[in-house]
Amino acid sequence: MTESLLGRTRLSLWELLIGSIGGASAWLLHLGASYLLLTIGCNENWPGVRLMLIALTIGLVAVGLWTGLFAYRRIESTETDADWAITLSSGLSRENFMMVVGTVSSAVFTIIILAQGVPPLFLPLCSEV
Amino acid sequence: MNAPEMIGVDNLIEKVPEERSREFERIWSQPTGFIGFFHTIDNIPIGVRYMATAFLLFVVGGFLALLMRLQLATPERQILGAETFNQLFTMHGTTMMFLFVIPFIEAVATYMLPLILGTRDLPFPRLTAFSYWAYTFGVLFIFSSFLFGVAPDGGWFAYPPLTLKEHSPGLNLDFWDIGLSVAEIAALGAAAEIIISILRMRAPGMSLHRIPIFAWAMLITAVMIIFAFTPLIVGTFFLELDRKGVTHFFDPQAGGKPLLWQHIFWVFGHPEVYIMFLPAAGIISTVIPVFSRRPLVSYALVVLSLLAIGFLSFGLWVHHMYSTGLPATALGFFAAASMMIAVPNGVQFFSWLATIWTGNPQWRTSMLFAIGFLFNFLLGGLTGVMVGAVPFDWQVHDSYFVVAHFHYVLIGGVVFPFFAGLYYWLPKITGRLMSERLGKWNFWLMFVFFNVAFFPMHISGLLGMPRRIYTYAPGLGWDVYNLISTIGAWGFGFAVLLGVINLLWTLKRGPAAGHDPWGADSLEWSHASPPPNAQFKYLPHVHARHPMWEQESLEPQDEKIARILEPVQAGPTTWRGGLVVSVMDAKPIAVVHMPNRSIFPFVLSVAFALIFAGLLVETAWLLVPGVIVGGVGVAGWFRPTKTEDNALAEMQCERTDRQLFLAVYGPASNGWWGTWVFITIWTTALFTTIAAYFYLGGGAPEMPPPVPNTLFGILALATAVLSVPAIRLFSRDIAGTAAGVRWTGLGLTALLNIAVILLTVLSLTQSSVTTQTAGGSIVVFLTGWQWLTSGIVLAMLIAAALWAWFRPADPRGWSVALNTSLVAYFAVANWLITFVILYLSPALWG
Repeated sequence: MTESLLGRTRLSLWELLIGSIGGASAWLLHLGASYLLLTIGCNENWPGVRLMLIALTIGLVAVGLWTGLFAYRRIESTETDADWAITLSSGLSRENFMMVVGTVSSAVFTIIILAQGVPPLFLPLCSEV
Repeated sequence: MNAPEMIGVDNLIEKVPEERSREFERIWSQPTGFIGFFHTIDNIPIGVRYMATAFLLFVVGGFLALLMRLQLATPERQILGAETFNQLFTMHGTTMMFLFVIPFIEAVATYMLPLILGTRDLPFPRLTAFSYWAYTFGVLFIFSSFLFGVAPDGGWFAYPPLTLKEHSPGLNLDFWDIGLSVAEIAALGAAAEIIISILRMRAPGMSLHRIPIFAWAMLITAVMIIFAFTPLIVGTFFLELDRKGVTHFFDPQAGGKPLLWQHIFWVFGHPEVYIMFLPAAGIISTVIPVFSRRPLVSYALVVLSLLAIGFLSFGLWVHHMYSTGLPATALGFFAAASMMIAVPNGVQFFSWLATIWTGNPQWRTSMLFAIGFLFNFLLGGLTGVMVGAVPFDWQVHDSYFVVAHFHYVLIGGVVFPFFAGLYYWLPKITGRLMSERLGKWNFWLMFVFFNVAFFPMHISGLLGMPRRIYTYAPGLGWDVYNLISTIGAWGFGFAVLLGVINLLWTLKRGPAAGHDPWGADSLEWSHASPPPNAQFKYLPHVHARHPMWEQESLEPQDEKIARILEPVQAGPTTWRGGLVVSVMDAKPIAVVHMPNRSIFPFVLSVAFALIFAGLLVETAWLLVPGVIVGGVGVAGWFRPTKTEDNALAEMQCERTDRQLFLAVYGPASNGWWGTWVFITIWTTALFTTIAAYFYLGGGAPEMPPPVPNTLFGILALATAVLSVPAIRLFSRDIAGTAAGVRWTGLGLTALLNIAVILLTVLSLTQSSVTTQTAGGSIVVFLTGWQWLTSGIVLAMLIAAALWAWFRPADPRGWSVALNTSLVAYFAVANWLITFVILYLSPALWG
């Protein structure tokens, strides 16, 4: 927590980064690692590529959930005085704004990781189509 | 929501003494006359030129399309031959994708962002001018190919092996390759400007959650440009080197892989679609709330959507390659991501609908274009989800269905928002209101004829009509759809012409617009229309997301902040000063000196044009003058100026939290941030090359790629690591470091970088590596990348040495030294990574 001219900032830069783009980064890692693992594994005839892909998905779904929870826990409750006042700047502080974005973003990207985890369960791994 | 009383910045200016106000305007005045035209570097005149040039390219690109549609109107027409048709579709795609949309949006950002953010200019005005001139020369370069009858003809995607010298022996593709590189360098420059502008040069108080959506969209777009355009530049280097016969990246007979180009191209190409779409979405998120008279529903989720689209767009490139023969599971990964990108797009869509639904919509022309966008983009998005499904894509791949899909996305999803933005912001730019009556005709004709032109292409595509054919036989069921498309295309062209007529009428006869004709919410509307070159003489203070709606005044509400900002209110007056704020909270930190005029951006872009023309025709008669002119340009650009001296005399450079200081060096300065953007671009290029190394090696006969001489490689690594303490010596604080120590650091770093270059050269020459194979080509390219990196370090060291020699105690010299040190450290890391890849990784290949 640091002081600034325009008010107190309660979250560190790392907290803000993990909270806001942690889920998206987990997805990028999942896509890159899955594609690399599949390409190299198929070229080199590695055993257990399917299991490794499933493990990767489980691991990064866990990361996505954790970053979502991480961001969610850092949202402070704020009161709003009108139905749509939440859309006005008075509704959210800058840090709450980033953590709300982070929470929803982690949820979306965790779902995408899950969706990308499905093909290795059903499709032939290495045969080109 | 009803807009409150006008709270523009002009009434704040009255608080400034008249003499100071005049001095401020003088220092921010533009150079005039013919010579002054080339000296201008300010965002407003450069933004106007940029927009005008890009819009002209839109008209030119559109005209090429109309010619193609004439050819395709009926079967077996012979208006254009096959070769001309190839040139037209190549130049139509190239013009629209590279020379219109991206430059146009960067032009809008160049003009509007400082106004929207409440700052006086972009952080590097000379770079703004350079970007514009480089872009213009790139355009002239590519289009000059028509004069010689060798216009590019390999498609805007330039797939090898068709585009290799063997199959395209003329200069056509060289014009494309080289001209595009110049335009892409311009785009990278503009992206750096946009990023640093939005992160560091906002109005005080405009914290992250108060940034206007358009600025958010531009920030994410600019970051995407850095990561997407850099691989393309690397790819075009590969292609040009192959065409010159130097390397063999894509030549299958030498172990090269044509599909490598497709990977590199689409790693750029798919994000490119969103690079074009996100600013358009930003415009829509700006226009709809203003004309619905209420804030955007769910600002936070719209920002999230922009961020999510930015990330996801880099994970979709393979959906352009479904039919190239990849493992089914790999296709599954990319199909999943392709489907899921509909989610954040949907969030934005529902936000726009909810804003209109719960607002009080006013159907001005700008709003009509926004509504037209919603309809057209929905269709383009739905067909996008369809082609994201692998089996469906296989059926319609390379057919007119895909042409219909991407025109719904690019015209429906990008050009319609651009027109919405034009009608919205032109009154600010010209000071005159456009004709609503002509505007509505403009909209309805564009909307109707757009659908007449492109909807039938879905059907002709489903009936099997392939893309890029210059004619077709009768009786295939395509005739009527093609005729309708041609009628629609010409009608659309007429509708665009109506928009141009409206623009010209406005410039001549349009009624005065006033400050804020729409009762809008963001800071650009607090200024006069058109805004003066000395914009934001009195810097506004923001404490709401919609300052023009929510704030009663743009003055600082806090006395402490008012006191801190005092030196920059209508000041400084002997040099141009811009306020730098903290990234998160927009807390005022420092003042940066901004140059006021310079011919050198123009000179440097001339040098680029000469060098690239020299590369095209392979003559030293252009290359050598280009290098000399470039040297003059760089020297002139970085020479100390009188206004910098004024700034140093007036303000202290030491960092303090009590008052504003002059940010000359270190993290508070824009140069330091610019250096990091450069390093990011360089790192992206390095990793693109490394990915190409592994791709070329995978499954190739020459697997792993050849290893250069290990002894010299290790010696080069040891030398690079040894330079670390030397770098530390010359980048020490000038106040507490003896000159001898700094000179020792500079000298040692230079010597060690020269040694690294020599040792890596020896490592190659003392091995069997040759560029006659694909594996050898990538090894030499990666090593050459180190030479280039070390070469840049040497050039920067010369600059730092000149400062140390002529002005040893000048903080600007320390700034150069600090920025040089960042690049020098990066050069060490560059060789460390390259060493691991080239010398160690082959052991893991088995």
